[in-house]
Amino acid sequence: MQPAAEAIPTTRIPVRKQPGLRIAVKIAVTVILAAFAVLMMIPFLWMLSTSFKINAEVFRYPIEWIPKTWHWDNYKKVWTGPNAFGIYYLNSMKITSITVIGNLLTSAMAGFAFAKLRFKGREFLFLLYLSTMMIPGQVLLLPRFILFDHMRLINTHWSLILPGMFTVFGTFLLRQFFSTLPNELLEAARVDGAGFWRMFWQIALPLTKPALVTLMIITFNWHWNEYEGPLIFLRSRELFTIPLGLTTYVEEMGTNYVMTMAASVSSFIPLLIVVVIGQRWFVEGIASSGLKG
Amino acid sequence: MKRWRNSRVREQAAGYLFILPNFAGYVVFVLTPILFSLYLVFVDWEYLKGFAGIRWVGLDNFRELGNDPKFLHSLKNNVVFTAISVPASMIIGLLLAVLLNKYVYMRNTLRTIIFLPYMASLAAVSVIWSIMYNASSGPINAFLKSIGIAHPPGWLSSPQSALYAIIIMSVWMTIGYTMIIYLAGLQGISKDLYEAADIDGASKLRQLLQITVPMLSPTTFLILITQLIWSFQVFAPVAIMTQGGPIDSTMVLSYHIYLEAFRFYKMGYAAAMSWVLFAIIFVVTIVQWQGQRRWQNHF
Amino acid sequence: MKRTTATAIGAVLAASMILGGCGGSNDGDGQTASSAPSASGGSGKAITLQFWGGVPPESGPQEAVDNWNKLHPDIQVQYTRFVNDDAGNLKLETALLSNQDAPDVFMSYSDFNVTKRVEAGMIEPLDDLIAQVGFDVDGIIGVDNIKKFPDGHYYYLPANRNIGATLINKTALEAAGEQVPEAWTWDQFAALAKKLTTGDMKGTAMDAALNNYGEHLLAEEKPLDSYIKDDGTSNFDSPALKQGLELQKDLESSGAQLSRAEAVANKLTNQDALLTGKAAMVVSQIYMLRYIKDTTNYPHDFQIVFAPVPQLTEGGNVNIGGGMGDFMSINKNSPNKDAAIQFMDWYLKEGNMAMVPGGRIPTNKQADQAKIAEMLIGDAGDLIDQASLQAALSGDYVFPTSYNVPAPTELHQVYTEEMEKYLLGAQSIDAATAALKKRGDETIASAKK
Repeated sequence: MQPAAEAIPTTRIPVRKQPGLRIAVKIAVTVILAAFAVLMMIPFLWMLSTSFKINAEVFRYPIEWIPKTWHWDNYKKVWTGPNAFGIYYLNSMKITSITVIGNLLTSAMAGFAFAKLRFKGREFLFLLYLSTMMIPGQVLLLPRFILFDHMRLINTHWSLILPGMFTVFGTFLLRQFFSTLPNELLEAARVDGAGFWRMFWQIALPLTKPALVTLMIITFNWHWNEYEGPLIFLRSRELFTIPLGLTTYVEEMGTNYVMTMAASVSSFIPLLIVVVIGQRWFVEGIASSGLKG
Repeated sequence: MKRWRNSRVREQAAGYLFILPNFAGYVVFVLTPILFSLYLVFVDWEYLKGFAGIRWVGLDNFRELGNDPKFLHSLKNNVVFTAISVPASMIIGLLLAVLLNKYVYMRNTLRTIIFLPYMASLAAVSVIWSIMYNASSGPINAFLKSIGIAHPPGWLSSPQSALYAIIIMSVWMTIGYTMIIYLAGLQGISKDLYEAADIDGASKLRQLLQITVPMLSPTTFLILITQLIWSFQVFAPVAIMTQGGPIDSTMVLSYHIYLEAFRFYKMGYAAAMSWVLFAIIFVVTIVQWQGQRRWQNHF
Repeated sequence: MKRTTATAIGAVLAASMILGGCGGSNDGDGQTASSAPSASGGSGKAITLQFWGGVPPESGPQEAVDNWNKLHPDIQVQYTRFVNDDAGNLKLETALLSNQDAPDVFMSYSDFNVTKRVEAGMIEPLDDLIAQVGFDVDGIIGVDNIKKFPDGHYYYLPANRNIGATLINKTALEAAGEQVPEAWTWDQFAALAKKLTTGDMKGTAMDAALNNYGEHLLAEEKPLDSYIKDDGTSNFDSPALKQGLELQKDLESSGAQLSRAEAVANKLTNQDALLTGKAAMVVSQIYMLRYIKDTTNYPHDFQIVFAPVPQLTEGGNVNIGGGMGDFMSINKNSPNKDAAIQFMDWYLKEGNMAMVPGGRIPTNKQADQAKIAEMLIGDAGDLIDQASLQAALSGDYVFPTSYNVPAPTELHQVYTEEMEKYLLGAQSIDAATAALKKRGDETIASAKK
């Protein structure tokens, strides 16, 4: 997180007038924003530092950012024993990956059909989709609870995966994107004798990559972090996702703050690393949803 | 002629097949719950008695809403939460985006750092902040005391400050998002506009207010809508940090719905409340949309 | 670069899917939990009972369940812990609401919680089941110790006999030059709390999810059905309740006790307060022994000494926090009620002996009391002042009960709301007591309709 020394200016500096002043302004703004960025990181840094302490040191002030001794035991406790964090990771990865891939596939197929295929009832169906897009999750949660109870899906991962696989939002987003593809492209393929599946899979889909990435990141972020669904649908500890596993652990630990912080770090440092490595990807994915949605 | 008809038929069939997986899931997991919920709104259901416990009550659930001080209170809290957190996050996000877009070195590094909180889970973030907010010995109040504030707020333990504590946290979390979207919006503004303004001798501030802000209005609209929807549905921080307390000062609709459904088993009433939540989101969106169109016409 | 990252993340996702797929292959029913080998071989499929309680598995329940599972290969019990606070009770009730992997047997920890669950129709009446297994209610627990609900049924059997006590950090007490209190009043308690307040250590503390002084003092004034007067109206205008509210406010504002609101926000528990040195004494129960002995999670080197619960009047003998607890019930929708009552029968007769080291005394009147005392202390003799513990265990007390209060759940809710408003300064004591009486009477009236 240290500011890199060899800063690469990413925007062109107009050299027309007073280049010296421009650079000075730029340095000043950089310093201010860097300070702001550090401020933004304080909760994370505090969490990280606390997670290596013992409880008696947690609230010492001035804050000891670097623990006197590093208590790795805290992490050992979080990652071993009957309620080890590993299982939550496996659960979250399973739920998120199936949901994301399933959602991309069904949304892309439906979005393609809505955008590029002519069939009876298309407008009606699309309107139906649109009209339900604004309905918030809270409306769906209760009836889903009752429904899943009768479908015997409560306390299974399917209660989280299935609703996530078929989303109106994903269909809408990809439909908008497919609509921007020129029809000529598909017509040409059709003249060549390509079937609809090939048109979809080999021509349209590769061109949709940016939108797919966007949808993938949004759904990943949503399902990885979701709290209310797992809270209501899951019972057994061994099925818990990371957020639910974390809060359950925290409730049991009470004021044992070093353990709650070690658990919090464990719950998202790996994700943080992924985000930092793939930052361009994440940032652009989210940003382009902004432009299309 | 026959070939043409054939291909039309094939296209029809393909259309249905392509839609089928999504549509089947949509019917089961979206449409059915919605219709079911619309039905729930009109019933009183003693849930544990199964379907035999259902009694039709017409509009009683909505009438009860008007007499439920907790509901009105949570509505008010939702409005306060939204009215402060959304504009705050947008203004800070916009400023950051404008600065990051032109005036800094290490743009990517800074952007990523500021964006990080948004990727973290609300559950973990709530856990961290609830400890930092510890009123008598937490780091925030320790800092405030050290700079001479003798009586810092009680944060989560005081009904005067608990909601604001959650607002601050949520602004911290969402400015990364607003900043990213604004950055993307800024890329779309033509450089020529600024060059022309430079030639006219317009100050940077005037350029910001007269070029950047108006040109970003579609982006602003988008952020506004997504943030409004998000903030009206806020659940995890309340559930984890305060459970609606102290004395209901952080009770919000989504948590109230959860309590009514699962603590008091009033499924019909909770469903009615969830539709009110929908109505609010819907109306706000429409109003915004209209407003945006009129506003754009002015420029 | 961009491409590589994309591929990398894609690969991670794919890998996780495969991993997750394997790891989760037995998700779905917890019923099939293949990890519990059915020793009986060909005797058909074993029943799995879900048993929910508030005690951490390692403090006794796991051992109890393991003991049972060894004896009964055909009925395997799985223990799930919920934290006994608002959020935890909500999770239990959400679980009771569905038919899948719902608890078959579960614990409630207060009259208002169990009554609420009975009224919601979550609990099976036990009378027939008790007769079916021939459980001798009077001989083992005593009929006076169990609430008969207005419809004449039993809905729970208590598994734990609590004893309330004031637990004091002996080192802090000696440093203040004070003796262990023997019989004392709340005034004396408040005075000692203020005296024991030094630096980072408060005089006393209170787990806001469990306790408050108003209800304590009210129960001492009227141990039977403290919420109502003899004429059936609300007892919330009692001077004892007012005194309790004022006592709490006084302790909070004088700094001898962390404020209730902050205790809620920080999720402060009695064991955290006492054993990590945040407070010098707590009015609690002897279940605290399980934390005193848990030096891994609560490392401390001071002894805990046991004093009686302070009284409203001198010479009073009401044991707040004492009496029957761990109300064991069967889920009305459980498909395994026969197995559930067999498990309860065993648990109440002998199974709950495994809970003793965790500080819970069985309700079984025939249990060996000397052995229980020995097990309570275990190998933590140097952390416990044994003479005072023995005295607390052998005391002769009046235990509060609340068998005839209409709508205890709603009354408790009313009380909590008005108390919080008073403690947070949103209303005066007189406004609070007036509102309490008024709302209390209204609640009782609407419950009788």
